[in-house]
Amino acid sequence: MKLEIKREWCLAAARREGDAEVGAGRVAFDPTPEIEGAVVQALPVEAMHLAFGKLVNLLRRKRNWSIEELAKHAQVDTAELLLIEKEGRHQTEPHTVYQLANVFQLNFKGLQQLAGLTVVRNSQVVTEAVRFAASSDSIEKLSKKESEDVEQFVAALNRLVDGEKDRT
Amino acid sequence: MSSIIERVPLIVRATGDEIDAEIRHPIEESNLHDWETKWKPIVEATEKRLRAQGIPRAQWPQDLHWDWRKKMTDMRGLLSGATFTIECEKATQGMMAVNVSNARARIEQQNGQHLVYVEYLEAAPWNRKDHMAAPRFRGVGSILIITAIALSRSEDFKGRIGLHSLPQADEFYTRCGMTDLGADPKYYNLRYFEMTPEQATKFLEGKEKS
Repeated sequence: MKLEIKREWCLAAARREGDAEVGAGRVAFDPTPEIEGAVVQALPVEAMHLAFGKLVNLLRRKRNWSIEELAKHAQVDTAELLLIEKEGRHQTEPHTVYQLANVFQLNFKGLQQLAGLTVVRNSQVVTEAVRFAASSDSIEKLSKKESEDVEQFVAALNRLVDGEKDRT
Repeated sequence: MSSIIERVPLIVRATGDEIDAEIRHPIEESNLHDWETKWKPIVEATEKRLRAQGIPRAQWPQDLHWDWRKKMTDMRGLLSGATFTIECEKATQGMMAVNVSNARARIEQQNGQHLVYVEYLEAAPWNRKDHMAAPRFRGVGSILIITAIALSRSEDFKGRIGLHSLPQADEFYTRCGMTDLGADPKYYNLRYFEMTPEQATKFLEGKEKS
C-alpha cells in the first residue's frame, strides 16, 4: 500500500482540520447512560451491577475503610473500586471480583454472578439483587438497617447460588 | 518493529511550522505503551479538572466516559485487523484500526459493496482541544482518514470508507465530505458516515466541503 500524497495536501488538510475533534468508533469511548441516546444495557444486568456496587460500598463502610484502604486490603486498583461503587454499568474484572470475594469472605460464585461475569441461572438472584440495590440510599454512616440488609442479602445470595449446585 | 508507510508533515499549532511525522503500521507494544503512559495521564488529568470544576458529566468530552481496562481489552481485540499509527517526536500522535473483510457500504448507490470500515480512530490527547487549551499538532485526523482511503483503493474498494463518529467529531467528518447517514441505533446511537469513491477523490483533491 502506497499513499503517494503530496506534502502540500497534508499541510492544507492539517490547516483545514484545525482544532477539530476526530475520534471515531466504540473504542474511542465507552458510552454510559449519562450520554443522551446511548444504549443502556439490559435492566437486570444494570441492576445486578448496581447491587454489586452497593454491596461493595456497604461492606467496605461496615469495616470503616476508605476506598483506598479497601484497595490496599484487596490489592486492587483504587480507580476500579471507584467505578464499581459509583458506576452502575461498570464491568468488573474477574481478578478484582476474586480479590473482593476473598477480602469480604463472600461466595465467589455468587459474587461472579452479581458482577455479571457468569450467567445467572436462578432468576431469584436477580430479584434479590434488585431489591437490595433499591433498598436504601447510601449515607455516610452505615445504619443498622443497612447492616441488616447486607447480611440478609449475602445470606440469600449464598443460599440461592448453593441451591443451584444441588440442582446441577 | 512496525514499518513506515509514508513520511508526512503535521503542523505545529503554536508556530505554524511543519514537522515530519511517519505513518506506520501496525500498532505495536510501543504504541500501547505510549497510550498507557503518555495518553492516559492527560485524559485522567482532564477528568480530575472537570470534576474539580464541578462541570456536569453531560458536558464532559464523550470519550471520558470509559474505563481504561475495558478500553485496553477492546483495543487488543482490534489489533488482529489492519492498524496504523502516526508518530513524531518519538511519540504516538494518533492511532487507527480498520476492518477490511466484512464491512459493507450502506449508502443506497453503493449498498452492499466492500469498504474499509474504521473501527477506531483517535488522536493523542495533547493534540486535542478537549484536553489541552493549546493542542500541539494539527492534521492527525486527516492523515489517518487519507490512509484509510489509500487502503480502500489498494483493496480495490475504490476509496469507499465508513465509520461511526464520536459526537464531538461529527463536524470533522461532515467537512471531509462524507455522507452522514444519521444516528445508528445499533451502534450506541453514534452517527454513521460513509465516503463514496467520488467523495474520496474530492477529498484527495482537497475539494471537500469547507
